[in-house]
Amino acid sequence: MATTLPRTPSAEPPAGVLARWRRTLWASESARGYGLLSPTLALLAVAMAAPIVVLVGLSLWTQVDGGYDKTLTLANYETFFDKRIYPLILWRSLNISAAVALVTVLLAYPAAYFIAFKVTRNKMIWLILITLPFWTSYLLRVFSWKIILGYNGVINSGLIWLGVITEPLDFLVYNVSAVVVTLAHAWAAFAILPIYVSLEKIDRSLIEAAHDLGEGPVMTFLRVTLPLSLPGVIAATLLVFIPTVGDYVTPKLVGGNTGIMIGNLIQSAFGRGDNWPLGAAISVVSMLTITLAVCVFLFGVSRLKALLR
Amino acid sequence: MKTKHHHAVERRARAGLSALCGVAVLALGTLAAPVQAQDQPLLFSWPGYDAKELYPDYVARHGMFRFTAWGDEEEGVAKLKSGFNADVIMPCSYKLPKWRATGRIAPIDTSRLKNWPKVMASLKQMDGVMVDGKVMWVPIDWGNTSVVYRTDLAPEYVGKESWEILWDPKYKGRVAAFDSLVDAVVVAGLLAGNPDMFDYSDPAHLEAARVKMRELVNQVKFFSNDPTTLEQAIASGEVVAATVWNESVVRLKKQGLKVAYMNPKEGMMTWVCGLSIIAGSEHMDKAHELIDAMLATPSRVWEIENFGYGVSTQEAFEAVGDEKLQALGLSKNPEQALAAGIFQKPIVNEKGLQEMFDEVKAGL
Repeated sequence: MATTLPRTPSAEPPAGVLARWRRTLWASESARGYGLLSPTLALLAVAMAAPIVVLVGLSLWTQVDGGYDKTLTLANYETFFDKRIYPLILWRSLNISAAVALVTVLLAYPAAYFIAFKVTRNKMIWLILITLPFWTSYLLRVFSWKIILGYNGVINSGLIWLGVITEPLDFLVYNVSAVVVTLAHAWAAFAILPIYVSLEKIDRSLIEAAHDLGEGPVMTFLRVTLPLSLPGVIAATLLVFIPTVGDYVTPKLVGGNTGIMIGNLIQSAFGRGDNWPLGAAISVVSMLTITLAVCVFLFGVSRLKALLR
Repeated sequence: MKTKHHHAVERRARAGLSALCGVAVLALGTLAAPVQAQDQPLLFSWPGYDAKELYPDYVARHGMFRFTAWGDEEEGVAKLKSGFNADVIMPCSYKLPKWRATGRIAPIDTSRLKNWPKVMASLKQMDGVMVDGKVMWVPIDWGNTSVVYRTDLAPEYVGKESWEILWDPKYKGRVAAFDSLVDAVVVAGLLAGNPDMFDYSDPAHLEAARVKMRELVNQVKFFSNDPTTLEQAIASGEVVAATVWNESVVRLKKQGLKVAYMNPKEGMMTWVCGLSIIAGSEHMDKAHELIDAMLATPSRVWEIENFGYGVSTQEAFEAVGDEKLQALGLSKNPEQALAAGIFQKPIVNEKGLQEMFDEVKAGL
């Protein structure tokens, strides 16, 4: 019956609304953008947001024998600040990572500068060469530093062979500086690449202009090249600083007793310490502290820029 | 014309994108699927116990099983608790209550172990073998935790062997120790003069051990649970003394180094380790076969000769011969050997001791 009825305009609207909706959706830039982003957004929600919610939730529980007491409490955060060990090691980790970021950027800048300005042919090969160490496992790179810095390692046996020293130096490995050296090498590419990109983007005519106006090479670098490459430097600093705060493999392998970092304490809480809620609380406080440190850094940079202008 | 072209490009891009998404989803699906069927049991054990010579019967029949090593048992228990799926584990006597508390230790059907009758009666009577009339743990080997030292670098300790070498100011920065409570930290309690080096329920005893541990933290080059790391440090002369198990001494002596394994005046520590099966294992038959293979005489002989440990079957000792046993400093009688040292027990207030250890390592 119904199928034989002639189509009346009144039957149209639902489909028409839908079509119009679809048309507006396609027309709207942002809706289309989010549509295209949806796989990424879904992944972020599942892989980033959800774990953080779980972590914060877990940190509000308490560990009892064989399970959790699920009444919400801040007891783990109190433990964090009551026991001197946690704030102390977190502070130490921030300092180590700041040192790592500084060393890495200082060493990476000349390398990036060289590739951006001095290399004219086969730049790709140079970039590949820089990422070459990353083709081996992170663990292997840390181990190789243990071999280089070790008691009868490359440096010690080399110096003994040269006759500079008679007894191996024993301050090379198992301390904070070994952690800084190892991390600075391990994260070098993460600093070189962003700095290279920002140097590469600099309009060469600006540098020529500076020369034409009578600036020497040093002043040209300080007043033109360096400020223009600052975004890359900032990105490199953050890319190195943020992940290294939580590193625990490197301190475990080359840090000895004095080089332990917050990651080791988190691992201990989740491992043999068998106190997951406390480990979660340490992680949450670490993340907040790192966020704060990054904000302070960015604020400092913008103030510095304002001062220079 | 331009807009038409633009639309075509966009359409093509969109089609390409959805194809890409499809590929990505497919890839994720493939990753999520099991890589291969797991038809071998997983042995979760001490580093070095993946040597196939320790399980010759099993390897001949089924090939190699899967293996994962723990750093120490505290780590192992924590991993099992958080859902790690093992089939067979190798716990030691002092840790059995903690493993059992996970509720994941299954009874062992000894009628399926043709080598079970070979296990020495005195070991079968140990605490932890039988629980509620069922066998839960099969003793496999026993050995020591003590100090290995370079007799050429620290000759004054020859004949005057003592744990104190780790605290000797002369060797500051030239000693190393296990990163473990039962194999290292309790020694601080022993030297602090605590009445029971395994009991830290009294805060005064914990404090006494803390004072000793603070000194040790400043003494050691590093703490490590990896026998290879400790052996290499001794071999290179980086450290003159380190806590190790017998197997490290056997290997160091094979390298021709001038080392000796201390029998400290305070006593060396002794332990017994064995095998248990995890409840709900999908490989019950193979798990039993794995245990049986480790009780077989060729396996036990290999462990005596290569690790220098005592083993749980008399037959293996007979097969090795007295001369070799003497060279390894091994007694055929476990009761005698275990009574001669400090038998490692479950630690009371383990959590407090672990916290103390973490704190002194951080310099507090």
